[in-house]
Amino acid sequence: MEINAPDVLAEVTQIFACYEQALVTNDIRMLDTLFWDSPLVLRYGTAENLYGIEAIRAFRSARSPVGLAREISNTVITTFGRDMATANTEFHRRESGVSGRQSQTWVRLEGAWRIVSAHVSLLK
Amino acid sequence: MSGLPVTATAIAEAVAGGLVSARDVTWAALSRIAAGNGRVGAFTDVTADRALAQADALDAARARGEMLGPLAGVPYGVKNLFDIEGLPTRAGSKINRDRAPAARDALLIERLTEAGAILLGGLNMGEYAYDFTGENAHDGPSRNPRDLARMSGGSSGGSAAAVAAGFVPASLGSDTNGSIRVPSSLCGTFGLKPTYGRLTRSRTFPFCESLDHLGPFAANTADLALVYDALQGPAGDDPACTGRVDAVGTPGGIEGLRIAIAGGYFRQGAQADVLDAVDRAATALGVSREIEIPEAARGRAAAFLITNAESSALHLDRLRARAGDFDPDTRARFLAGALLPAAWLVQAQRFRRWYHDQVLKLFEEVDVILAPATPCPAPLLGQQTLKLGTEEVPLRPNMGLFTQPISCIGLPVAVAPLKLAGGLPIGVQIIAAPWREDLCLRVAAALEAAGIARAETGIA
Amino acid sequence: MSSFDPAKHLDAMAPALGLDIDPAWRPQVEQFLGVAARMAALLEGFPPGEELEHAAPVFRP
Repeated sequence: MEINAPDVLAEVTQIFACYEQALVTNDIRMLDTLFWDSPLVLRYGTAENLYGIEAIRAFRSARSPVGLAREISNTVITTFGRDMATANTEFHRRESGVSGRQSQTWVRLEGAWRIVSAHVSLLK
Repeated sequence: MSGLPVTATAIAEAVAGGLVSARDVTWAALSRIAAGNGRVGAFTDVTADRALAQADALDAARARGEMLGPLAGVPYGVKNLFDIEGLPTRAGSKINRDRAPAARDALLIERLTEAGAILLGGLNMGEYAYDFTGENAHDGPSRNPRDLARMSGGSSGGSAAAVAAGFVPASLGSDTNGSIRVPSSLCGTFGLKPTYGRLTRSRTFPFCESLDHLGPFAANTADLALVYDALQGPAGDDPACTGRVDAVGTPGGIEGLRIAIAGGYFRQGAQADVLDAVDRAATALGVSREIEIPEAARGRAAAFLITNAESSALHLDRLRARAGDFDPDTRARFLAGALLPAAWLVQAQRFRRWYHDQVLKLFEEVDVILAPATPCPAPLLGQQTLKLGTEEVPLRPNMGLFTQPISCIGLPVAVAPLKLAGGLPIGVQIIAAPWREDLCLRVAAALEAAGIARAETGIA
Repeated sequence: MSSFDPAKHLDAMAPALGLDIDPAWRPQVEQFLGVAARMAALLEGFPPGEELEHAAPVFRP
């Protein structure tokens, strides 16, 4: 199994950037698209544990679009073979002074890269 | 509703044979659109009442023992630059919403209606067709059914997406510099840009009359040929249409055909896996010979200038009065095109004629030429640049790199969808001499029969 | 062709076409003018030493 095959790494880096852009602009449709459409997907957020795509969709639509801007740093994306990757990053919200971490597992399903599990937590 | 026929060919046969009602087929298609169009953004108008009324009329005619046409009960959509009776012809714009409703369907729609096909509505497109992405500031993007985070391509984005999503088995679009071939490649459908002057443009909203072609999309070559044959016919009030009819029927085999791969320009500026796809198609056809299309880069330049100058002149009044209502992604192009020196346009026209004559000489020694349709598979929505090897180039102008030099001289081109290792589709252009759409379709059918080319349908 | 100045060209031509180009759009319009100029430069003086015939598309009444 090849780790960090250049072409796979480039693809996941690109789609990770797409997710980041969607997050800070609250592009709910894109955020929804990039999560695996399944009851098995999950997202542990800073204040909630969400199981299944429906719970995540509900969370997105209810979320306030205010204060989503952030800077990311120390992003580490690692690809395993052709169809799987982990993406971890630190982030900082200048407005609120809040810092945190975001972990995602990406899998290529039927040709499309999707987040199959995610975890966001804050660091005091 | 399970158990209904899916392809245009199967639907027409089943409806004509009374095995299934046109109403059931239409209803099922409308249901699929209702369930999925919100995510895909293919249809901009759904003409449900008209479609159901037409389906009922068809079923009644059948019950009376009347003969039905070759596309009986086949649901389809059209790019929203086609006139649809009762709707203002949008052409992907906000400004055109203020137009009076069309008094009459486009001639190609009338022709398909006569063949028994059922129009379900208008399809999303890049504003005024000056687009290769399928994005649209007014109507939202059409998304790629193979990966909704990606572009469908354009400007006939909705036409490709509607077929790739499985909403309808066929659709109509337009292609001036690549607008059928690019979305076919990105969404993984079969598409046909016929010879310039083959299909009448009567009652459609133009982009660049020197280069506009209309053509069909489908999910298999039998359907593509079936729809294409039904579209051929007299010119109506389109002076550029020759009205020439060469029925294809069921595409034959490729025995005796001289096929070559386009070299030089068509091997540069594409991702390695895209060129590999062209090579795989060539291998499946037993082809290894390369042929060079001379001065393709200049051909592209000529098509660029003709397109820019003519389309901007067409929109001059709109640019004067309502420039702010244009899509920001098309506005600057149109404004620039309105200012071009006449000598540039005339030189482009001179070159076009010379280039046409040079390329036609190639068809003395070859029947069909293969080339990539796009330099890359579907980019992510909103993506601005394209990575070629180590170089990063602007995305939009380069999407039409391989299509523009061919449509410049009106050659017929079919696109057959292959699959890349990662799962995304990629199209291969199958190019023939003028009026030889039959050869394009024969080669497409051969790739399909070999299992190399296949259109996946549904929403991923 | 290297002396083509998109900004000056825009200033001169836009009024002739009755076009009022918002300053915010100018950079993009100038960029596309530059692209058109490069395309025209490709076709200028081609083929070298000859002149192309058939300046007009054929019109059939």
